[in-house]
Formats: sequence, structure tokens, C-alpha cells
Amino acid sequence: MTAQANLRHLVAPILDANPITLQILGICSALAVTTSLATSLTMSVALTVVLASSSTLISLIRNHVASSIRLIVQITIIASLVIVTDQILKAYAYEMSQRLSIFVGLIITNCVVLGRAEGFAMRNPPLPSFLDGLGNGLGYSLILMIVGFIRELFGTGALFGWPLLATVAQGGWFQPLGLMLLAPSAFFIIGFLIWTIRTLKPEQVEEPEFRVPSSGARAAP
Amino acid sequence: MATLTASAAISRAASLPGLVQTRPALLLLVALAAPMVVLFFERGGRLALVLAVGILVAAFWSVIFAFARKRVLDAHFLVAGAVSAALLPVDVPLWQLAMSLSFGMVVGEQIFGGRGFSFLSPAVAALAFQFFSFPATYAPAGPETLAALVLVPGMLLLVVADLVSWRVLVGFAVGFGLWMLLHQSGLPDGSIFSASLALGLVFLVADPAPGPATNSGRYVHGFLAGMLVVVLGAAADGAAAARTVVFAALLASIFTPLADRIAVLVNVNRRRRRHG
Amino acid sequence: MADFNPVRLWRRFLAMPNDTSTKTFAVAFMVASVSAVAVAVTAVTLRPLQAENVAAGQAERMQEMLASVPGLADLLADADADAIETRLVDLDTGEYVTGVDAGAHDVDAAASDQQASTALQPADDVAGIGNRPDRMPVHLVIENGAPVLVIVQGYASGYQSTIRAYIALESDLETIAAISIYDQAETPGLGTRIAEPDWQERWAGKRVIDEDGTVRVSLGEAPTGDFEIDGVTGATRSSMGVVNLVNFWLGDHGYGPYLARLRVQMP
Repeated sequence: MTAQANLRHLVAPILDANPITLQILGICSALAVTTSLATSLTMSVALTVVLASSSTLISLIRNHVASSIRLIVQITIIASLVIVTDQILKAYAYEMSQRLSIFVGLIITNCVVLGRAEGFAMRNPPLPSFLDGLGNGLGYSLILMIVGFIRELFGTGALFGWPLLATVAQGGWFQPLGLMLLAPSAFFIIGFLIWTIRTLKPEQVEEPEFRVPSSGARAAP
Repeated sequence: MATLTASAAISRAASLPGLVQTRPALLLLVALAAPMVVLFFERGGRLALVLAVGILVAAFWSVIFAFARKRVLDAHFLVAGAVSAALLPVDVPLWQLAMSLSFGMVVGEQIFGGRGFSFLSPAVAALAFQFFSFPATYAPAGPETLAALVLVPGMLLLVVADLVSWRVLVGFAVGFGLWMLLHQSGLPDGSIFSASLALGLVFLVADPAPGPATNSGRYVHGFLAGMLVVVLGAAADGAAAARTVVFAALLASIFTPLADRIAVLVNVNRRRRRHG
Repeated sequence: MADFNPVRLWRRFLAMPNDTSTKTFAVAFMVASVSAVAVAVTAVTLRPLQAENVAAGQAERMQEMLASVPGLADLLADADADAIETRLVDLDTGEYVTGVDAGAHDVDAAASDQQASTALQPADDVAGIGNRPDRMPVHLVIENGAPVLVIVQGYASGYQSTIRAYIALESDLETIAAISIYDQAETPGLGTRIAEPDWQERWAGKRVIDEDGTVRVSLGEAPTGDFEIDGVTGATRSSMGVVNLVNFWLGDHGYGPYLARLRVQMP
């Protein structure tokens, strides 16, 4: 259990094993809350906090949970953390919680959280589990922030609500892309991100399920 | 069959063996030529500019990907670019057209591996992107019926050459007619019968490469598209025929692989039962 | 076993095999209890803050709307704090309900309570809301003892969400002074533009009730005068939702009877 191994738990999920682009988890909220940077950031913080603390807590009790009830115990802990987070948002960041509507509550069903609990925290000591949760939260946050940045900038011409590009409606030159504010655009952006990451890191590319016989190819390898 | 041999001769002469596949695209262009000429007279000179930009952008992406993948270049980008240009209003900002077509060519076709691998026609993807992104884009107001009429001989040529499946056309006619009858209230107004609908039917709905692979799938595909044109046309208050036909083609394309799959499964089961 | 040692008992409990039923139940029970306490404590501690936020949000929308009516800000500044009076109206009779705290009336609770609401016939249900509460609040801005602004509120189905709005009527009770949409979840970038000031300002000064007392507003491509409003481009359904809202809530099944009564009373 060296410091280097711990660091690896923290850093690996950010790009090498990113929950969204490699494991394709947590897509639902990534589509729903990324219309603006502010909502993306709030959601990222909420998920990271929930993920890091749930991983730690689950890891603490991992040796005393019967395998027959482990899933329900994990869900109970995650759900409680999510409700607490949601209540805090409603009390101290009301405006933001209105904009996020049910999506903070839906962190409960976010596969990243349960995935890390079941896949890592149940088998590892608290510190690595905490770092793994934090790292996965940060990896999720990174993607959300990128998608939120692109969608808000090109969909409204603003960032964090601050107008950067003067839109046509305000007498400027920028014609906002309506598509960016609709959920499909997040699919495309995440798709392009996956494409970019896997081009840079070919080891992430999955084996194709089947191959098309190369009929049109001039130079088949 | 005379048309076939003649067109084959033309395309053989024009193709660079092994590098560019031109025959299907050339026939489609022949069919597209007459309505294009009519549209030039109706919409004015800017159509030439829109057309040029459309074809150039489509060509750019097709060449890049063909080069990168060491594949044969399919000249169908000429059709994709031209049809997209024809279905957009003639005063569309050129940068919007360039962006939409880039999206259509890359995400609608090349990302899947090129023409023949995608379930979408790149022009459909491009136009859907345009209409979603810039909701204020409306199709030209006039129905331009003449352009629709002069497309008929070209359509027949494509049917004979098997580039447009008559099954899709029959399915479309049945779906369209049936829903017109069922949908007495809230019918789309006359503007739906337009050059946009005709071009959309022949070049988007009936596009063979992304289209259905089974004969039953072809009927289903055409039927769905015809039905959706009526439903969406009524919902859009007859605002824009081009929008209507693009979204009908998009939705029909999404469901067609399912129809194909069911047709194949049914066939497999039937053969298994017959042959044990 | 005479001496009772909790630490040793706890150790023994932890040392039990995980899949014995005693330990399984005990662990489940403890996890559930700790979680329940955590959730309950947070919820109870934070409730007052949350209630404040909700009330503040609604009051803010009301203030925003009042501020958008020309000349009203000065009027409110001159008048005392009680310039806005909230009363509860029985929509069927059009009379005020007395003896209740109008400010505490919960419209949503009333709409889902069969005792406190009326199911609408589909033909009457212009706003697409199904059940209509029998009592609704009205806010009156009073100057020199007479209302200068009558603010009613209502909701209607939009394209993909329920649109909620305040409608402020001028003292002729036929002209809209301002509209404020305070809750909606329409398509971002398209339908949500109904909640932007640009569009809401188009309502100001529109006459929506004609001489016969009939509400008739419609969407127009290029509205020339009263009774017509220009919709948001690309969001016909959302704009239509607001039009329906106005038509329904000012109409016979909404505040219509109340407005008719008020019209008689006012000079």
C-alpha cells in the first residue's frame, strides 16, 4: 500500500479509466444537466461528494456485511447521502436545486456510484476507496464540465451565465445552436470525446463484436 | 433496358477504375438534374452558390475519410450535397449549410464506416441538424410543383435501375393515403405537395444504401415515412414541407433496422419449421 | 458473565461470521438506523431555511412582475407596506372567502384534493389541467382605497411541462398590465423563452377581454392589435400554453365570475 499506488487510485479514473468515456456509466445525468456550466458544476460537486463519502463508508463496514444483503446496504447508504446532499442544496442553493430538479435525487441510480461501491469499496480499505471514489467523481466531473462548456457556449453564447459571444437576438453576430440545448447534442459531444480519447489512447478501444468483410478496401491488411 | 445500358456506358466512361465509384451517384444526379434546373428558375441564382458550397463540403469530408481509410471514394457525396442544398431555403446562411453538412457527412455517414455502413442518409442527418439547431430556418414558401413533376421521369429511371425500390414507394403511398383518410381532421394543407416532398421521397426516404435490406422492411420503411409525413405535416401546421419530410425520413430510418431484423427472424423461423 | 463489558460484547459481535442471521439482521438494522437518523436530522434542521427559500422565490417573481408594470414601482414606494392585499376567491360564485388566511392557501394541494377541486369537462379544460381548485388567491394593489391592479394566478399545460403564471389586470379588468411566468420546464432555449422578459413584455397593454366579457386571445403571426399575441419562434406549443392559461383562468371556469362581480362594483 504505497503512496504511489494510492495516487494511482486517484488519477487513473480521470482519463485512463474514466467512468463516462471508458465505462459508459452515468450517461443519463450527463445528458440532462449539462445545458449550462453552473448546473454541470453543481452536479459534479454533488456526485463527487456522494461518491467519495459512500465509498469510504461502505469500505469501513465491508468486512461485516453479509453478501446476501450487501447491495441493499450499499443502496441505503448511497440513498441517505443523496437525500442529505439534496436537502442541503435546497436550503443553501435553492435556485440551483430548482434548475437541477430531480437529477440530484437521481444520483442514487447513477451507475458510477453503485459501480464503485460494488466494484472497489467492498474489497479495499477505506483510504484507497476514498481516493478511488474521489478520482471517479473527478473523472465524471471533467467530462461534465467539458460537455457543459461546449453546450452553454455554443447553445447560448455565454459561460456561467456570463455573455461571451453577442447573440443575434441581442444585436450581435453569434447565432446560437439550438441543438446544443437539446439532449442529443450531449450524446454527440460525449461520442466525439470518446473518439478523441480512444484515438489518443488506442488501448481503450474495444474489440469489435464482428468484422465486416472488407469488400471495398483497396489494401486490406 | 435501353436506359440501363446507356447509363452504364456513361458511368463506365466517367469512372476512374478502382478509385472512385460513380455509377449509382451518376444515375441519381441524372434524375436530380431536371428538378434542379426548374428550381434555378424559381429560386434564382443564389441556388448555384448554395449548391456549390453543399457539394464542396460534402466532397471535402468524403475525400478525407476515403483517403484516411484507403477506401474507394463513393461519388454519392455529390447527391448528398445537392439534395441538402435543394431542401434548404435558398437564403440559408452558407456557414450554417457548411456546418450542418459537415455534421451530416461525419456523424450521419463516415463515423459508421462510410456509405453503405450507416443507417442514416447523410443528407437527412445534415438537414435534421440544421432544423434543430436553427429552428427559424423555414423551407421556401412556394410548393414549386413543376420541379416535383419533372422529377417523375428521373424517379422512374431510378426505379428501373433499382436505385429506388418500388416497394418503398408503394409503402409510402399506402401509408400516406391511409393516414390522409384516417386523419380527416387536421390535415396538412396543400403546401405539403411540393418539390421538397418529392425530392425528400426519392433521395432521402428511398435512399437505398442506408435503407432497409429486406423486402418486407422496404414496405414498412415506406409506410412509416408516408404515415409520418401526414402526422408531422399536420402537427407543423403545414409550415414547412422540407422539415416534415426530413423528420419523417429520420424517424423511419431509426425504426427500419428493427423491421429488417424482425423480417429476418420471421424468415429464419419459417425456414426452420419447413426444413426441420 | 457477571461483568457487562460493552466493548467486549461489540468485539464478539464483530467477530461473528457475517452470514449468521443475527449479524445480518443487526448490521442491516444499524445501517438503516444510522441512515434514518442522518436523513431525519438534516431534513428537520434545514426545513425552515427551505420553506423560506420557496416563499422568497415566489415573492421575488411577484415583485419582478410588479416592477415591470410602468409607474407601479413609484406607486408602491409611496404607499405603505400593506399596499398589496391577498384574498381568497371562490371561483364558482366569484365571492371572497372570509375567515381564512389567504396567504397560506396551497393551490397545488387544493388541485389534488377532490373535496377542494372540481373535475373539468374536456371541452371546458382549455388549459389542460384536469382538476381546478375551487378557491384561488387574488392579489390586489390598492391605491386610495380602490384596486389599481388585480393580480390573478393560474397554470396550464405547455409543450412538456406545467406553466405557472401571474396575470396582472389593469383597473378596467380587460387589459393585461403584465404577465409573469414563475414556473415552467419547457424545452431549454426554445420553449423556456416564454419566461424571458422580452416575450412577457409583449403582453403588457394587450386587451384580452372584449365588451361582452368574453376572453379571446390567440396566437397571431404578426399581431396588429389587441386579442392577439406573437408567439415565440420555434415554440408554438409553449406560447400556446400561455395563451390557453390566460383564456382559461380569466374565463368562465377561472376567475371570470369574480371579475364580472368586480366590474359591477367598480365605477
